[in-house]
Amino acid sequence: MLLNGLEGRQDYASGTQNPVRQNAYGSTMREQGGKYAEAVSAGRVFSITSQAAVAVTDALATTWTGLGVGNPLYSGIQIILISFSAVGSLAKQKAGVIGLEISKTSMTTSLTPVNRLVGGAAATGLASAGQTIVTPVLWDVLGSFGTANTNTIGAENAQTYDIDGSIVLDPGYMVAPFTTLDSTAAFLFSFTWEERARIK
Amino acid sequence: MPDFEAKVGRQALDAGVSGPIRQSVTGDMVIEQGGKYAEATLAGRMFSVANQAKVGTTSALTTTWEGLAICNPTGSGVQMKIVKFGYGLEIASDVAGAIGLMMAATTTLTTNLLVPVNRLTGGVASVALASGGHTIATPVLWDVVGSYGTVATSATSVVFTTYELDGSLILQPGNTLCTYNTLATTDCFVFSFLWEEV
Repeated sequence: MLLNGLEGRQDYASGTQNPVRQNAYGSTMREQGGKYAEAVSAGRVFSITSQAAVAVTDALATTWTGLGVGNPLYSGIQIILISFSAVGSLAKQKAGVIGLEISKTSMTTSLTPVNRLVGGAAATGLASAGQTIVTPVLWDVLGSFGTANTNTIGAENAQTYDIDGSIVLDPGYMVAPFTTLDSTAAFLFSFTWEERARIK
Repeated sequence: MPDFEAKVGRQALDAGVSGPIRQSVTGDMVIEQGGKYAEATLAGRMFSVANQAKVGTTSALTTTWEGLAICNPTGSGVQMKIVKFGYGLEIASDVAGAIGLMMAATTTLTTNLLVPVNRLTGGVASVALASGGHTIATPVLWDVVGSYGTVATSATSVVFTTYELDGSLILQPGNTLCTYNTLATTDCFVFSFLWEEV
């Protein structure tokens, strides 16, 4: 069956049912924009950022510190990770590999994630700068960090990894930065994620 | 010929319920976006593996190879769409060279095995095999990803080194994808792969 659209920009009222827009070539017009804009405007996207430099623990330590995001047991949601950023705000004490690790741990204490729709509802997901965790597994290798003195570098970008939905935390799991060696407080981290009702 | 109609505004449809397609006030179709791997991850089709400690690497196209490899074993019944590759230097490398990805017609991996994880935490196991070192068939360098040098770690800050394959390489059963280094290094690299199984 052939279906007709309607050429040109329309001015429809919310809740009405109308022909889909097409252009002069017959192509169907698709609403675009920032790919997370729809989820953000629906209040489903959250983030957390270290508010001051944090110390990190070495490798797969269970007495972990840094910045983590967790999906608490029985939350009823899935956490879809969007992005992760890391930056050195001070010279780091040691060098190593940086990545992301996953632990089957239900977080118990929380920093305060923000809804990316300013004024939106609170997150169900939790965030922490450190707690005892179940032995994690290194999932993603993202790069390296060194001990360069801050007087040897100028302005530089935060290092941001586009997770792009490729990690989903079910209830009872958490994600955290992995660093090969521990360091005194020198890193700032951030995570962005979307929360959706769990479908299983 | 009927109109292709849609409805303006966000709806609240329950699972299993059919409803009108959504459109904007200008008539455009609204198509769900978001993380482009989210649907595949929620469906339990995304997997990854990483070395859990630094590894040595072997030179160029050597067959007594070390680093990180993923294998789609013969008879697996799946294709592996490679999505991302990441690497990092845990300590300064002792030699310099290029880093890349190479392919070998190696049908299985049996030594130095690593366990791939499902990116939906708690999801089903992967059919893929992974190893940190194995004898492989003579490989071919497919992708050049970057370089590595011998600069001291005291000269670097934070640098992310990941390569977005974005499905541009599909591993058929009976093949193995391996890391490539021009010159052999001591234990200094950590690698990871991310892929979808379909």
